[in-house]
Amino acid sequence: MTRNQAYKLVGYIVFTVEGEHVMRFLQMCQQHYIPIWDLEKERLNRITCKAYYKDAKRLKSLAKQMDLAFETSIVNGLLLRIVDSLKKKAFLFSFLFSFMVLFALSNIVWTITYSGVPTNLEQNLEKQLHKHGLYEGAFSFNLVSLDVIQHEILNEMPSLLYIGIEKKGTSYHVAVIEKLNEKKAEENDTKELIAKKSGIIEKMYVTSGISLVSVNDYVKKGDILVSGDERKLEEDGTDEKDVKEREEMTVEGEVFAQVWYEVDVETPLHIEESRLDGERKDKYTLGIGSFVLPIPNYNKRIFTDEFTSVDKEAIYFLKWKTPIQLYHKSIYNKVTLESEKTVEKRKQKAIEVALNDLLLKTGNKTELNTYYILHETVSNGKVKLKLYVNLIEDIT
Amino acid sequence: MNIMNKVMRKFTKPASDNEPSSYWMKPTITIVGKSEIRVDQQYKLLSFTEQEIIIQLQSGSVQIVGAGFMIKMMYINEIIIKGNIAGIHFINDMKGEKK
Repeated sequence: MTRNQAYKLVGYIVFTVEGEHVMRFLQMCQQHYIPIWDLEKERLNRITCKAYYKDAKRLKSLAKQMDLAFETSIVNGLLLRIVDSLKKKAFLFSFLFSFMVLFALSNIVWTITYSGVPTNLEQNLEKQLHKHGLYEGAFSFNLVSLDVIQHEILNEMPSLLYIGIEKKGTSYHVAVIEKLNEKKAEENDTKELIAKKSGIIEKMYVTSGISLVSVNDYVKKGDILVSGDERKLEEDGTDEKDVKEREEMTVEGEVFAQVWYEVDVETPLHIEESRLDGERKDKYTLGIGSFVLPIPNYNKRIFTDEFTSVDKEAIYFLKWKTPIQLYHKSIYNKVTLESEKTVEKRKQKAIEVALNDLLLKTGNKTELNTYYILHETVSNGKVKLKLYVNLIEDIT
Repeated sequence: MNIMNKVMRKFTKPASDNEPSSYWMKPTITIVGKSEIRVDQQYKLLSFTEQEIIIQLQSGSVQIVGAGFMIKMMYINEIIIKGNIAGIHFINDMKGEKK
């Protein structure tokens, strides 16, 4: 009996057969493996029964073969109704439209919540987020990668130590840590300043602590420059209690020293430089796993040389992440410039690059004192230099 | 509609797919109270009215008499009849006797 329990799901018909050979019709149904049920005899030569919708055509043809009148009175079933509904254009349109609206709404930024943002920075942060397209009501399709936004905001707001933007469905949470707190915590722990590099001391600014060296002293890496411990000066000791109190003193200061570096530089005489001239075209593609569906683009400009960057954006439906991803490909026009300069010009350029690189590595308080060229050769189309550079830098 | 037919076929698999063994070739007649009778075997419906139903089985025929009969389900090897059953007669076709 369980076999025909699904008839309401897959669809069934209620039909009437009338004629002389009704019994023969029933026997033929049995022989043709056509299940029927709820069979009632209305009159002598007239029966009403139910059968699966899929058998309707075969039943009709059997009835026709036996000269019987066949009439279908009811057609029902869940799948049939769904198929019928899909055939109705208005229903289909409204279904698709509502789905699209829901889809669009689920890809809108509804709320942005903040944590750890000081009141003085809140307005500025909101402004910066708005500038990068993250605001309530914005389309999340248009947003650039959250990592990029985080990075750019950290650059634009130097007072921030950390910013984390997290997407939770249709809302975004922005967590911020201000730099000041970190700085204070670090400073409070310092008990002595130690030389990180060897050099001749040029100048010193000690705001807290006892200086153990003076200007023009040569110090080696690891030497203690400024100490918060009184025993470093009073080695004989006067009062034990007094020494203990002074031990807890924190130190603060900067010690600048002349530090020497040997730098090897190598630069080709013939160089190729490429730069992006600002012209750009965008391409969008939808991807599901390894399958990629390109979205037609009417910008048919052709660049002779291209630089491509790809951003990947997950598409959400309500709070669920769909397997569909939107790829935004930015293609830039790349211009290549070839140039051959004199040895002197290349040498100057190489020195400039090497010095800038060294200054960048040693910190923003570092100054260039002087430099000497120890050795220079030109071979195989390359200029090779050995520099001896003197910097004044903070060695603490 | 092809997909739909495939789905429907799964649900409406004919009973003939499960061929009966020699044991099940023998008819099984189950009567539930006085209102339902079920016959499991290869059969042939010979006659059907509200008062009488005659089913031919391999070893003979069965005549069911009563009132308000309707066929609840009719498959290739199975038939379920509902109604007020007054009597069941087994007819041996070879001898033409009623039992």
